[in-house]
Amino acid sequence: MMMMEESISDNNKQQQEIGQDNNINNNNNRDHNNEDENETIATDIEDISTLLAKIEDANAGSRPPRKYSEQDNSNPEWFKHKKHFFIFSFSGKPIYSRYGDEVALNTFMATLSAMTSFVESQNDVLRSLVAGKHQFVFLQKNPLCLVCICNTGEPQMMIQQQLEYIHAMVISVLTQTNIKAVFDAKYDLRDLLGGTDKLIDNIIHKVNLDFPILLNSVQCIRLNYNTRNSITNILQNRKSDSIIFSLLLVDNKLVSMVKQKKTQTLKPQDIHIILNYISSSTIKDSESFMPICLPNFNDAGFLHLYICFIYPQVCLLLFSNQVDSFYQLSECKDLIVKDIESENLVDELTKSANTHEYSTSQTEVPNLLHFIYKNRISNYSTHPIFTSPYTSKPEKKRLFRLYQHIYNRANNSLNKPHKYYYYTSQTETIFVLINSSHEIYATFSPLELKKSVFESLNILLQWIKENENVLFLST
Amino acid sequence: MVKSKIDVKVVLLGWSSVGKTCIVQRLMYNQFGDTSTTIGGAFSSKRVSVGDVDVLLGIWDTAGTERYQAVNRSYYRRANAAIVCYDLTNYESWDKVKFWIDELTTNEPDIEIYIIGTKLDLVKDNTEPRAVPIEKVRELAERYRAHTFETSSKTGENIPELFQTIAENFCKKYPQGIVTSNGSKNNSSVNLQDNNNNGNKKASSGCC
Repeated sequence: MMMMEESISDNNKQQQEIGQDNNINNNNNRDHNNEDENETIATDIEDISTLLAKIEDANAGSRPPRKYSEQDNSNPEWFKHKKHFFIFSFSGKPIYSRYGDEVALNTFMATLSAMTSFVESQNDVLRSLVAGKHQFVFLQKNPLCLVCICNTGEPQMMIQQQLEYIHAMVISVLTQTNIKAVFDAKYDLRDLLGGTDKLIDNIIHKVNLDFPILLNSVQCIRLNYNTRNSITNILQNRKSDSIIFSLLLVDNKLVSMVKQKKTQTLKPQDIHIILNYISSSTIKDSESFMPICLPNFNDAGFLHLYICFIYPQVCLLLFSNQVDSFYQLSECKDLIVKDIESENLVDELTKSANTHEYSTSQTEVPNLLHFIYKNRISNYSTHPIFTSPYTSKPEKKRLFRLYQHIYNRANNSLNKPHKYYYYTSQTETIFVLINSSHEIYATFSPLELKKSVFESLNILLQWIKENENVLFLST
Repeated sequence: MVKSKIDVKVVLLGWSSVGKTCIVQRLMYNQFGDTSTTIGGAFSSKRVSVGDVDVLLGIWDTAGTERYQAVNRSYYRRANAAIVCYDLTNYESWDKVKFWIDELTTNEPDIEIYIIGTKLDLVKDNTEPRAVPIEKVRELAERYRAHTFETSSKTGENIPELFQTIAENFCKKYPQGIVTSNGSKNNSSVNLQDNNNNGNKKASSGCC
């Protein structure tokens, strides 16, 4: 049924008044094919659609102006942006554009949509295409299609991964089930995504410079073992019936994460979605409570997330499965704060926000310029701050892009990742070591001898091992 | 005599970008600045005094964007007062006020409704024309026995007054403290008892 609707709307694409498609009368013709799935989910959808039907002026443009929002593909400036991202529906309806107004770009997105439909009609899937210096990368996740067009020369696999993160971000706002229901009912998804442009803008910004995301891992804050241990114990002891996960962050990095129920652990991608919510919000002084869907945990339903900055830069997160648990969670927060204060951990926590970063010189590894490290078992990662010669923005970006390429080459072999990968250019030497327990990418000067690179890498691994308790959460 | 305490649950509703978060920021921190779209709801509490009664306003700032409207119901459940906001310079935001008042009167018949016009400074300094006629506001307010205010979070005009009035009206209505809000913090049950014990004394001394 779904497929039929999609193809019908495909044919009507040209005539569709995109953006004003919010036909409220359609409510009665809506598919009820999700009803038998799960009662609670079904009521959620019912809620949303009945509300939508009630709302009179659903498609008024109330969003604050965004940067470059006046641009579209009739403007040469628009083509100068290096990396575009688009989201549209399978029927070609525009949902999001990184630059410019998505409604003004509707013909452009319709063209992209036609490309995917054409390949699909040949029973194939369009993944990417190259046009001169530009590459187009497609990610199709029924009923959404995400496209990146860029001339940054990044490997296709890395862009694919970035699109996956953006898709996860959209799911986290609405759930996959609701998105499908909205499309079945032919509503305009943008009404329900209202205000999330900023979240998507932010995650795009992040996937372009964040080492933990590059390695599909989570960065923990560097903190002494006893403090972290005490925090974990406090979180473990202060649980209530509805709490599923308790997390404490400092400077938007993980201090501790406790699973309160017998369930799967949080995947790095879900954690980055959460971090993105927190870094995108402005209010840091009140207690927040919001529905959030974690796509890898359960893409059909919402969890209820309690957020409170208990001290500057110190943020407590409690995930609950009950919508009315706010006061219970708030009380739990009071107890956690009391415990943290009675164990005198406040200073250490707030201080760590400014002291957790480290430079390569602190590792005392000779000639080391930079490195990124991931523990493949726990999925935690660490990296030092940029130091000379990577001090200017273009240089930082260049190193990031270089890591992307090296990561791609080292991991992209069809079978297993390469155990060793040695790369030298005019500007740097990067040595990669991957085994079942960890992967490390270490950067040296291009003039370094192989022998001394090997030696340095061993010293670095030794340093990480010695500091394991401080760099990572114990598993 | 021990000061008595009363908890009042207040919820802010209204269309997106009318300035709900700005009202809270002005009240809590006496600040005005850029805010981003609220996600879900944010809770803050503010202490005000009515006579010798300490009133703790628990304020829910909700998201105006549509996807959270289903969720917003859980925020206004068992609330004592609702602040329904519209932008004085935007008629569409006024249309939404009726929607919220309908919702509230159907689901929470006991709730006190405050209809609040925001961005008064824009009207006063003639930056933008008034888009919502005062008569319309009055008419709707009379129909639902709602209170009305016109505020500016930028200048702070009428913001403290609004919350003071909410606290005073609540004390008048429920001199004995919480009657309906069993959804608030567990320790409110302690308060409830305190209030019941002191109830008679307070009624005579605390409220005008």
